[in-house]
Amino acid sequence: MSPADRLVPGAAGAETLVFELPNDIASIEGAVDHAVEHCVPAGLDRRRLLFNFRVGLTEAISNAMLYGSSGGSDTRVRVELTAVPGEVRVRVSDQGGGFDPEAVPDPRLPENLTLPDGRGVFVMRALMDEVRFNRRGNAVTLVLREPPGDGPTYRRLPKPVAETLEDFDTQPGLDVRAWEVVAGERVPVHGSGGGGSRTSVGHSFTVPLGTDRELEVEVAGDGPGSALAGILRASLERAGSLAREVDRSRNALAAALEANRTIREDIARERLTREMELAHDLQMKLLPPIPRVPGVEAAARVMPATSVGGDFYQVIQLSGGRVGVMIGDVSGHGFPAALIMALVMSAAAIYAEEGAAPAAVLEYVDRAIGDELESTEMYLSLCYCVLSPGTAEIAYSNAGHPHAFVVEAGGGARRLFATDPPMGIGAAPYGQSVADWRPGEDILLLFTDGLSDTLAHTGRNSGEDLVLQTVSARHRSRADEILDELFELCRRATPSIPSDDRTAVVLRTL
Amino acid sequence: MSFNLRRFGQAAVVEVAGQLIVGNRQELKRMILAELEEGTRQFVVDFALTGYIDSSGLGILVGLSKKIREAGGRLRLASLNEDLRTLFELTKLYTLFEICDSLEEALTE
Repeated sequence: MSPADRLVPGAAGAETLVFELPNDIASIEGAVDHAVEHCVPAGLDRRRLLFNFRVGLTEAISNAMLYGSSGGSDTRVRVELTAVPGEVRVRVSDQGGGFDPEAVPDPRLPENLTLPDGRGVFVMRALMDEVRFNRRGNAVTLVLREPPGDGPTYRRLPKPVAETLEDFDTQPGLDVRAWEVVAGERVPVHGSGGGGSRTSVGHSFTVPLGTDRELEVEVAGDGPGSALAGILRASLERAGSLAREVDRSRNALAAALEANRTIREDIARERLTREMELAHDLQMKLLPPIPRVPGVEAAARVMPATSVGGDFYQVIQLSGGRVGVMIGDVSGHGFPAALIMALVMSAAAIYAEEGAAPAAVLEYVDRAIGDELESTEMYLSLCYCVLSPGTAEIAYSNAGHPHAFVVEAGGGARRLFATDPPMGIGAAPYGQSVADWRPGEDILLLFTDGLSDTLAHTGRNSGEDLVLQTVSARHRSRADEILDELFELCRRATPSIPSDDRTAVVLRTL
Repeated sequence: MSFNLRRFGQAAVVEVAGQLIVGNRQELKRMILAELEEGTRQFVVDFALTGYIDSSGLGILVGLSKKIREAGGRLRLASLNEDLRTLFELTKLYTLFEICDSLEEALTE
């Protein structure tokens, strides 16, 4: 349930879920899935719920947004949903002037068949069991029902047969024995039904317990016992019929629980498939292997998060024995972030491989994805460094990436400060800077927020300090061993899957 | 939701993973029109991974089919499940489209 929801008690114990949506068509899909989860008590067929109901509600909400708004973007669409066993009822209303649903022409007529619009009301009516507009035409009520006959049964739970039998055992002078008979097999269920001697059997009778089983009862006793046996029989017959109800209810309940589970799973799976798995696979596939460049030792790693972020790195072999190192972090998550990341990486690689200077590479990337960033309102930090084995300089451009360092052998670290704001906030031309570099001694260390944020919770020092200390302490180790140490620290800090990607690149030259 | 574009020979195949509805239909339109602009003429929209389509989604397919036809191209719809097929039948839109049982059929026909 989202914070804006209200649950309003209604008739017959049903609650009405009420929520409002902004006039934004992008919010429809999530709202519809949210509503579906509230439909579970209806116990409707899963397929009808996931198809008919979702399409019908999508139509109603999009109608309200597209045609029902009074113009302003602050207008809202209200959804009220009630689910009772066998029926889901949802009312969608807007603040607009309404329209006449009867005036909508039949979209199936040949002259209307190729029109792009005008099918919404028809589709609603075709898929829902009932569609009713209010007089003004700015509210519609949709009803989806279980087909009559095989609906689940919900009654007050009956008193079980066993309890009835035990009640009568306390009566003096009465000996009750019972067997359950299932498919011809007779199993003692009450009293010493398995054996024992008995002076006389006063009464015996059978009570049906379900379609395929019954209860055989023998009552021994005299005097008041024979009168009680009659009452017992009547009580058991009532209990038996109630037991059959219990069975039906239990089955219906199990079916409803199963439907609940599978509906949630279906929705979750759909989201997973299309948002995370796609984006995540894409992200992992795109991260290229580290090339073997003579005189360069490099390692890089991403520990991906639950919701996919847009971290990326690449190490590019350049002409003249040089090597380019890039790290970036796209704001936002999921598929859009992965898409931006893919675009940045391919654009950057093309230009970097031509040997362009860091500032020129960033400018080229900006040209390639500037429109995409603007339309999605995303931005990214991007740092690109170029090194040559044996030379004492590192050239870099840094568009707002916070964690780029040269870690010295003596334990110090120099920050490669940003030359520009993040891409998407700042714009071309990009600046470029030079830092001192001691081949064989210095380590280039680039990492993203996910790494330092995780470690920030582990000690008194900031996460960034802890990363730097770890790398300094391991200064003589191989690049991949340094990363092992960093990621092991992270794993210990939060053993669960992280909420943000953690990425680090370590590189040294000879 | 997402649309995945793949190429098989001359044909562009767009897979609708999730829903095709009012909230994302423009994305599909942009993707296919860009391909049309690039010279692609054979299109398949693959619904194997689709949950549902609303009337806006149907509308965008009608519009695209017209644009592709006008450019001398061909649009086929593949792998509709029973519910989606019913939707095309109820709206009589199946008469407008070439509907194929599977992606293989759409690509080999």
